[in-house]
Amino acid sequence: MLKYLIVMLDRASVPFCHHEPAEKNEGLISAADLKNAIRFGMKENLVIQFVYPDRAIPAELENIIETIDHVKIKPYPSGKDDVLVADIGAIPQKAENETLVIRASIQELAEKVSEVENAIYRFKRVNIILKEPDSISEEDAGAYKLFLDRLTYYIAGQTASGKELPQFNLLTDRILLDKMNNCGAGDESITIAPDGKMYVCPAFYYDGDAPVEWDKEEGLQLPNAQLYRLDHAPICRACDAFQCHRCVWLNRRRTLEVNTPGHTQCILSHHERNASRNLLGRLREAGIAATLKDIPELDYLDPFEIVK
Amino acid sequence: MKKEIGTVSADERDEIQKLFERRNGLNELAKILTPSDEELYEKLVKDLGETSVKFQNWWDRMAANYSWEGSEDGHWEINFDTCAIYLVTEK
Repeated sequence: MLKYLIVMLDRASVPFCHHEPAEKNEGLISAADLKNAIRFGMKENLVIQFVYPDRAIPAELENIIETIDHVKIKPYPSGKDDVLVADIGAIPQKAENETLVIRASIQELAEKVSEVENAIYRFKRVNIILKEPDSISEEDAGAYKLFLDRLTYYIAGQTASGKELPQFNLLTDRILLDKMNNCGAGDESITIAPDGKMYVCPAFYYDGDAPVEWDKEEGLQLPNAQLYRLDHAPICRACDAFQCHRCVWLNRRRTLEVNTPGHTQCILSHHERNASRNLLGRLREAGIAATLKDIPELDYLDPFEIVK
Repeated sequence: MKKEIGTVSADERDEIQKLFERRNGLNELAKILTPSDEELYEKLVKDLGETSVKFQNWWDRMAANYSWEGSEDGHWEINFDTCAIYLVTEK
């Protein structure tokens, strides 16, 4: 069931997920398409998220946006309630936002651990999104594990010193989840692009996919819509890396199937899951988090190995 | 802009310099280490994490002790030779 509507205000809207930013080919959404998008969101009772480009948009569009409750996803500068998106090399020192999305490659994460350590305690919530996911190798996965492992000691140490446990998507989400909490593109969320048409997510729009139709009676007219749901994803259904994005776009790039993850995505998500388990153990050693559910030990990094 | 906002004692300087050098050394070592050497790997990540905590705690402790001037768009730096603390801002 749809819950979220993402509205891209510009072809060059800030990339807040795995896809790369658009080339200089800018193109604002029209006022009419924006109004239609808002009307659709209202009718379907969806949480609307507007994705801004790195430039001012006309007052006419801003006025239309302010007619509805929403969340803004923006590059710097942005306000307290907005989701701030920044590249790891350009995290602003001065930002009022509570939520920060950091886009980084694994190599950048390995080189800039201190920037992440600082950000985790400057913002209420930090989400890290890996860019260039196509080029991630087995060697990168090792560097990613090291990055996560050293952060578990850092967060455990800071928490033991009296600081509040931060909200950090790669390490603390899994500790608090007891079921899958994934992106849900094509199932729980849908995107309206600057051309006024509907797509599974911004990445599908940039890939040049055909738009998706909406039927008042039957809902989203997505071919094989069931494949976007967890109950039709046999590998993911057997998995307990609950924090995984389960990115259907990445799945399709890796395996040509939206419901089948590639090996690398599973390995990375399991490093996150296992590091979360280690963090939980260290918090417990410090007398914290005693009431949270255990995360069991696994002897695999890819749930493909356990699917019959 | 860089503005001197205080100093620390030589002992306090030695403490943060030691942590700074240790963290840099461990970061260099991390570049050549792989998780296959389990014992060394675990020792290294533990040391890295704990050194980072001690490093941050030193700044938190000193900032509270000396009530240094801060800025939302800035950070503090130390000159190891003179023990001087600077506030560095973007403008």
